Amino acid sequence: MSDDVIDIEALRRLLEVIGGDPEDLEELLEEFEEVGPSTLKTMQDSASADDLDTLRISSHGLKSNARDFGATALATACEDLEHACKAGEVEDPVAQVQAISVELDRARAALKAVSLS
Amino acid sequence: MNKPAALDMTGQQVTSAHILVVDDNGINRKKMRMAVENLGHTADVAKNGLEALNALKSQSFDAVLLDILMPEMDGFDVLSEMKQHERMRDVPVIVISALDDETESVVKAIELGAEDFLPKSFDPVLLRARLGASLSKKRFRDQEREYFGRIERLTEAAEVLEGGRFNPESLDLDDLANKDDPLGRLAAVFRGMAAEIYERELKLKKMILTLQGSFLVLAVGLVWGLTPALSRMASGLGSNPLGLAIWVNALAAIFCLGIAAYRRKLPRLKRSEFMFYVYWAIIAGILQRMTTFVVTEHVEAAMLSLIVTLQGFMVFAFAAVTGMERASPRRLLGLFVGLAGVSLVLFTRFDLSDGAQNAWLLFAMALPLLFAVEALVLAGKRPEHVDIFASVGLMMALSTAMLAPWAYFSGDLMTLGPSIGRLEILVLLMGIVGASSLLLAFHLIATAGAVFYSQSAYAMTIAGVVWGMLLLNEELSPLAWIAFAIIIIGMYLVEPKSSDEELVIKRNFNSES
Repeated sequence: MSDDVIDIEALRRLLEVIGGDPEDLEELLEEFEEVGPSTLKTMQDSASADDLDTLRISSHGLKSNARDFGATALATACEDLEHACKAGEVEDPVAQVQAISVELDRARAALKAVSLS
Repeated sequence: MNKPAALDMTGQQVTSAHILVVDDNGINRKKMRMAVENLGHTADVAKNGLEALNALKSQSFDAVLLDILMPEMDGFDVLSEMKQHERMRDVPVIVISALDDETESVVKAIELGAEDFLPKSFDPVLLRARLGASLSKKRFRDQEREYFGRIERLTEAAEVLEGGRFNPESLDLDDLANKDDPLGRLAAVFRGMAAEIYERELKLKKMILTLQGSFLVLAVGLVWGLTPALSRMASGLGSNPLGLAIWVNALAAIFCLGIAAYRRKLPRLKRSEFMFYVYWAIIAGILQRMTTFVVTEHVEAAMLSLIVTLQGFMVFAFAAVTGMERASPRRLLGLFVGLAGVSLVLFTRFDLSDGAQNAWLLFAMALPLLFAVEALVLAGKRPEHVDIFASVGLMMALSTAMLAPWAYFSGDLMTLGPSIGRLEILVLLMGIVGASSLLLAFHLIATAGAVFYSQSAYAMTIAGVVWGMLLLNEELSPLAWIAFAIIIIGMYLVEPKSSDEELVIKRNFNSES
């Protein structure tokens, strides 16, 4: 089931980049467990306040983390929002962030279940 | 964790580099640090532009991995700031960018001086290749800069040589010459040849200095050696010591100040400088002259001249104790040899039955002591900016002014002239001798030092004996002649003081100039 949400190849590449030690990958994932929700909180706040600049930067950050962990759908959703912010034309930012929130939860759950061995 | 050795693109081991990772995203930061460390390098992290610049200012890095999109101070700001600082300008920067949507950013970053770029989701081979390329470029640039720096220093050294300064220290090539590569060997050859030339020239200069000094020593001795003989002749013509001193000093003063005035070198003096001349006048103009004139009434001129050689030993003892001059064993030996010669002569004349004569001989020893004090005062305290003629003239004038009232009240004022008799000619001669011997002594002390100058006492002795024999028909025993030989050996052993100033050799290396 996790394979649908997580691109295992991307995750393998990340592991290779950081030197192949699963403990290091575990460390990064643990950090994502904290950073993910807090970034989402920033996105929710800025979406409500219509602060597109902050929304863009936090979408960009979450996007790049999502890509590293192979959370393709989450990354794509963040990228779309980032581009929209950049263009200054965001349709219902709160709803978009809500969609990202769902993707984040799915990705976190899938990452917990994933096994590279 | 077991760190693998750093490898370059061709898989060869390279030295570990120090990398700065700049990213506002904590997970990215950690990932980059792990990736860099995985390649065998060390990494520091900065979470924004400001932190990055501070790190770059305080430490030296071999490369920077820089995120572009950061709040407040972004990657572009960091790049432009880095290019403004000499210290950071040449540290290669690899910008990290999500290439898909940031092509413009990458272009801009490269225009701002970034060395390369890396997509956010890179694989390790790519990181190794890009980082490796940047690092080898940096290493090559560093080597190049170091090499050019050394060439620049060699060129500077060549310019120093062209300026005539061969002192190896002024070339400042020591660290360059210690490098074991062609440029280092060139520097070593350069320095070696300069040192050889410098030593040769130094030896030559020392020889010339010794020759010049020896000549002056002989001249001083010859002229000053006349004084005992002349004053003994004068005392035979019915002069008195005080009256004679006034005339001789006044004539010397007029002679010297006349020349100084003609050369427009009459000085303006500060109070402390004026006091120097007062002291000098008391030592040289009054005490020395009066002692000479009084003693010559009782002691033979040749004898007095021999006693004067004690001066050399006294000056050396003072100069060595006070650290004014170098006290080498050779110089010490020379002075002892000279002293032995004098003692030998004194021994031949010391007559236990003649108490009065012995007392006068002992009193005569005050004279070399006064000469010694004068030499040291001149060497240490003389106001260097004052013209030599003005100096001697002023001293003589002051001593005349101090002696005159004394002579007036004691009734010792001598009237000379208007008809020119033997005494008048004698006094005139003594005035000129007094002035020129002081001028020569002054010059010798200034150029060769007090210890070497004091060797003039030996020449003075020889001259005094010869003048005594020529003018007064005095005779010396064979033992006294042996003593002379010993004194001359002593003089040879004491070299002039070596000069501290750097030797500059005038020579042209440019064919066109």
